[in-house]
Amino acid sequence: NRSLLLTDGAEDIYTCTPWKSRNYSEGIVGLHEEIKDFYEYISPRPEEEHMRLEVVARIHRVIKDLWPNAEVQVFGSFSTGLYLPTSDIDLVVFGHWETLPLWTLEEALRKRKIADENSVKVLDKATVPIIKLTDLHTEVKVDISFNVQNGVKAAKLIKDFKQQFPVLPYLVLVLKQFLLQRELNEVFTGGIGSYSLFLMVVSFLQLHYREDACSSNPNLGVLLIEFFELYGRHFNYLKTGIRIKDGGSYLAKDEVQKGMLDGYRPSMLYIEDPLQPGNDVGRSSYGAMQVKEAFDYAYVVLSHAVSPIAKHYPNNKSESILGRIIRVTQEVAEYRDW
Amino acid sequence: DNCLERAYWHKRCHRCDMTGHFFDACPEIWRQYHITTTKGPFCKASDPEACRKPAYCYNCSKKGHFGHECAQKRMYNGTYPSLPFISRYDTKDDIHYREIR
Ligand SMILES: [Zn+2]
Ligand SMILES: [Zn+2]
Repeated sequence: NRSLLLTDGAEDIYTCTPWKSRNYSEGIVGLHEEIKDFYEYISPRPEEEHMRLEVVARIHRVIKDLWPNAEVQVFGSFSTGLYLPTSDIDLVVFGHWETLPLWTLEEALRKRKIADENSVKVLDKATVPIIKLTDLHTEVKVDISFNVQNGVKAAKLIKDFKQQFPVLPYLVLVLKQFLLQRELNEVFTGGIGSYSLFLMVVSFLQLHYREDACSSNPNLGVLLIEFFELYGRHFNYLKTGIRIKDGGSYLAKDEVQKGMLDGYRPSMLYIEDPLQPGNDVGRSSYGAMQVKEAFDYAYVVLSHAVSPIAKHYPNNKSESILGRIIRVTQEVAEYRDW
Repeated sequence: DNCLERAYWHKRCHRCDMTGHFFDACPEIWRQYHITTTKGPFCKASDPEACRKPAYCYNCSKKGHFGHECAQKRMYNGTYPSLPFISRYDTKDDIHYREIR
């Protein structure tokens, strides 16, 4: 086996492309096939879903024991099905408290050994105060917030758009993985949050020039490269903002600014929240230009990899076009296999 | 060679008639597969230019024209818009010709 000879140690070769189970067609058709395989690979398996439901049930019991009348809901990617193996679970607790019982719940979660002692953190200064923890049994990360309606509404919105655009889940999971491995997937590390990313994909599909964006079987490779082309090269972040409601449109940022209180400016990546028009989803994404650069890079790499010119480059069985922009680490692949 | 490469603003594509690239690097070569997902003949849109109305511009945000048609300054100099439609689909001969180049 030629490829074995190329490794330097006793360890097995791990290619970082665990979704690749066959050889793909040439060029862009191959990229389409590969995106489908990646989606199949990375999508939650029944055992993973089950495991996550158990995490939710354990936390639910702790909350109910503290406040029998409280209500617990799942929102975020776990409720919409658009999650990666490493994604967090988002929970919200509804109840009546004078001050949010962040520390009471934190203490209970420690005492009941739900989470590792050191993993429970209370972020009480955040815009939306939350408790962060890592489940002791499964190592799944959980965020718990209180009395916040938006997340639950957003989950409903996301499900509706999934119905409208069948290609949405494929693009979103590839892009989430792309941002995750560049640490551009969280606002506080200078990236964009998953709600912003989701709305960017929706806007891309809503305003797509050709009608095939909402067809059931377009070439996913073409759409992925076109997403990178739009937000990596063409979209004018200085002048243009994104509106989702009423079928989608663009907004002039200087117009948006006129409607804002003095001293406020629309953020670099301005996305009007379809659930709360006064809210700019992209605010505090101060790393938006880093994300733009990453998208531009992906555009260059992919459009070159699918071009006929690239055929003059060495080619082998383990080669992967999608693998040039995304990789799944060995730890994640192993975590998924147990 | 380097000088030629640098003069990208002189590049004009014979295929899509846009500036900024030559025909052998035309994005239409991959874009023409937009509704083709298997090897073999192209699936072609019944009307390749059939497009969404109203148009919105990603460059100046205005309604009524597409971003590639916009006359306003781009965010970065040296970026060239590309044609989002398919001006023509390759024939078998076109593909064959590219293979043997
Ligand atoms: Zn061209
Ligand atoms: Zn314009």
